[in-house]
Amino acid sequence: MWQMEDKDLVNSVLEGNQMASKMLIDQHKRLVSHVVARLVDNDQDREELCQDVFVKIFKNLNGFQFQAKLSTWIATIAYRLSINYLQKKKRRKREQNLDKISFDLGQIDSKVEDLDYANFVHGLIQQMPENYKTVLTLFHLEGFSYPEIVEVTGMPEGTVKNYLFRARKKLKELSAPYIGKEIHFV
Amino acid sequence: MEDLDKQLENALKKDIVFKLPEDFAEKILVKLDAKDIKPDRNLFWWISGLGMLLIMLAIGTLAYSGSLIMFKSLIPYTSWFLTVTLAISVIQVLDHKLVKKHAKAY
Repeated sequence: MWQMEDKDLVNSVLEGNQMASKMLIDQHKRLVSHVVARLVDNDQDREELCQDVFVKIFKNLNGFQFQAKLSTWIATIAYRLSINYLQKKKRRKREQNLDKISFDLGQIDSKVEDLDYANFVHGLIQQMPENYKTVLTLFHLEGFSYPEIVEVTGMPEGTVKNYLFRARKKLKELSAPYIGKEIHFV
Repeated sequence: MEDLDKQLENALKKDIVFKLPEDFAEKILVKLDAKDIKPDRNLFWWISGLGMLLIMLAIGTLAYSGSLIMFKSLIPYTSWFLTVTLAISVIQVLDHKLVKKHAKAY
């Protein structure tokens, strides 16, 4: 898909260009859906929340001063709205120590391919506290740098690095015995 | 261990299963269009109200200063005008705050 520079895209949207608005949504819906889906479990709520994120983006776009990349700003809105949603629904996972969480490892069967292992890993991430989920998603799935993750989450860079290190260590620890086996989450 | 690292790295890069519908962008644009109507309507009523107020102030000033003789006869009814204007404003505000809000809940 052909992409416009952040500044040109934002200016076109502000001028009322519908095509540019559609392009902004299409270019960033993957990012928004990843941030939201990682933090929110229910599919219907996920879609509604993604809509709310884009409505907020368009509402506040004239205040965007290009002090950060557009994607970083959009991820920040998606992250904050998701956290607000969790707070409202009282579904926040406040436990920050991964060793205190008992992970559901699913039922392990026989042989396997890469996709099953990926599903297994995603199932484990889904059980982690939101800070771990967010840094893993932004770093690995979206390719955000440490300063960008700091901007989105408001956490110090050292904390971001620490969360990433601990989350990966935990995932390795939990998955090592099951590599090469088929796993189903109940 | 290196193999596990690589497998984990690949797994972390795999997309989350949740996908937004194909017409997601269209849905947002429709939603935005619907939201756009509201501020415009509000703006219309604010400007209309302000315009009316300015006209009344101008008429009042001219009548009291005696510049327009035809409005002089309205002076005794000033308190009536003010009371009616105030009553209409209060009704408008109550309608907006109570009735419309209540209707929105359904």
